[in-house]
Amino acid sequence: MASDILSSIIQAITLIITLDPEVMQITLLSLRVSLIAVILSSLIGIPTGIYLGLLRFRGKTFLLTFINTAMAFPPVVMGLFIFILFSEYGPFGQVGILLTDTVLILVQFLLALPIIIGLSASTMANVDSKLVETATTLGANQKQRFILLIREARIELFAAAIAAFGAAISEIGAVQIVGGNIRFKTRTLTTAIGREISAGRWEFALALGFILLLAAFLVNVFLTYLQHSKRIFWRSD
Amino acid sequence: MNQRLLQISIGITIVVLGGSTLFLMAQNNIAETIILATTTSTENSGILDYIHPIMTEDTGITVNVVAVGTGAALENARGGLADVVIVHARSLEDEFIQEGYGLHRVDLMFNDFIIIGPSSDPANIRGKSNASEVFSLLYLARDNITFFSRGDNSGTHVKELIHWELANIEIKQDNITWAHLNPWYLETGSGMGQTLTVAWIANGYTFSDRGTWLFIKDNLDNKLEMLAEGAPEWMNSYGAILVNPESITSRNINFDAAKRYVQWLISDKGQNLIGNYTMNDFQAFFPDFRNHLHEMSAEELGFWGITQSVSMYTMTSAFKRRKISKNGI
Repeated sequence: MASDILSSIIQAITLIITLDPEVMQITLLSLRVSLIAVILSSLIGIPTGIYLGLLRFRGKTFLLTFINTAMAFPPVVMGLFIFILFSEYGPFGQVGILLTDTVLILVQFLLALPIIIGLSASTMANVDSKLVETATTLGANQKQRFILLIREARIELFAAAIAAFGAAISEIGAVQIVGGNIRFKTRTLTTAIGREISAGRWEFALALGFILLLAAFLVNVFLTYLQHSKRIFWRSD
Repeated sequence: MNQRLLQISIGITIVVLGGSTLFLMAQNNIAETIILATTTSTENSGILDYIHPIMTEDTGITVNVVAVGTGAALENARGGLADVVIVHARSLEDEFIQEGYGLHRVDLMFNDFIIIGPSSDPANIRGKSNASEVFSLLYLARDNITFFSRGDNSGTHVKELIHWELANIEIKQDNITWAHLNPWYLETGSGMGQTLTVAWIANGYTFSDRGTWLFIKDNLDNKLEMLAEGAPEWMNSYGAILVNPESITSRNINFDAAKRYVQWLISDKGQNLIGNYTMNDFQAFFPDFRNHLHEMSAEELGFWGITQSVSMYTMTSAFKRRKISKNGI
C-alpha cells in the first residue's frame, strides 16, 4: 500500500510535468468553476454577513440559526434540488443548464453562500466592542467606525472565502448529479476521482487526488497572500 | 460511598461492553460470511435480494454484496476484498483468471443489451436487430444526436466499444482532440442508472443492459424508449469466479463457503430461481450454466460435483427471452 501511494505521487508528478491534456482540462475546469462560484458568493455573502453581524433586529437569532444550518447543507441534497428544479418537470425546465459548467457554478455558489454569510456574520459579532467605543470617544464618525471594524475583521472575512473555496472544490455529490460527470465537459477533479475509483484504477485516482490537493494549495497560497497583504485594501492613512 | 458506586458502574460497563464485543466477534466467526463483488446491474436488478435469502436458508452462508463496475469489482477482488465475483466482461474476466486471481469460472446467467434512445429516434434505428447496422446508423446521424457512453471500464462499456469497432467506426474517446471534433459522443464515467438519467436529460442515445433499464424506465417518463434489441452480439453473459486464496495475502479468503455458494447458484434450484425472477413482469435474467456444460472439462465438472449423467439443458430459455421481448416493452 505504501508503494501504491509512492507510485501515485510519481504518477501525479508525471501528469503535471507532461501537461497531460485531459488532466489539465479537468484541473482548469475545477479551478474555474470553484473560483467563479466563490467570488460570486463572496461578493454577495460578505456584505450580507457583515450587516447581519452588525445590525440588531428582531428574529436575528432565528435567521443566524437558519444560515448556520444551511452551512451544513448536504451537497447531495442541494444537487438533487437543483436537478429537480431544472429538469423537465421542474419550474426552470426550459432553462436547460443541466449538464453544463454553468450549473456547476450555480450549485457551488449556493453551497458556498451560507458558509460565507455565516462565517462573516460571526466574525463581525466577535470584533472587540471596546475598539469601537475607543474610536467613538476619539471622535470617529460612523463611516470611520465601519472601516475600522472591517479592517479589524478582514483576515477572518478572507478566511470565510477560503473555507468556502475548500468546500466548493472538494465537493463531489452535487456536481455529479447536476453535471453528469461528462468527460471533457463537466468532469471535475472530484468526479474524475470517483470515476477512476469505480473503474478500479485506484492509483490513478490517488494521483488525481494529489493534483486536487496541489491545486487547492496553490489557490490558498494566493488567497493567504492577499489576506495578509495590507496594501491591497487600503492605504494606511 | 459515591466513589464506590462509580467504580462499580465503571466495572459493570467494562464487563458488558467487553462481553458483548467478544460475543459479536465470536458470532462473526461462527456464521459463514462471504463477500461477493459484483456489478451494479446485478445489484440494481434486485435478483440478489430475491435469491440470497433462500440460499442462506439452504446453506447457512451469508453474503455481503459490494456492487461496483466490473473493472472495480475485479480490482476489489485483486485487493483481497472479495471471496467470489459475479461480473460480465469476458475479456476482463479472462485477464483476472490468467493473472492467477480467479479460479473455476462458471457461466451463471445472461440477459441482454439494448439500445435506448429518444422516442423521436432521429437515427432511425427503431426495430433494427443487426448490431453493426444499428451502430452505423447512430454514427451516420451523429450531427443530430448525442450518444452517451458509460466510459467507466464496466462490462457494458467494454461491450459498447467492441460494437463500434465491429461496425468499423473509430471511437478515440481518450483523445481530447477527437473528443472536441465529435461532440456527439459523450462519456459519463458513471453507472448505468446515472448514464440513463443523463441521456434522459439530454434526449440522447445509450447502450444499456436490460435489467437496469427495466429498473429505471418508469422514472424516465416516455421521453426515452427501448429502440433496438435482439442482436445475437448483444447477449450479456454473467460469470461467477472464485477468488484464489493463494493469490491473496491480506485476508483469509473463505474459499469453501464461496464454492458452496456458487455450487448452489448453479444447482437446478438456483438456476430455476434465477429464471423465475421478474422485474415489472419481465424476466430479468436467464439461467446459463447448463448451456455451457458441454464446454467444461471433466476436472471442472468433478470440482463442482456434477455427474455427466445430468441431462443437457435445452436452449428454451433463449427462445423464451425472444418471446418475452416480442410482447413489447
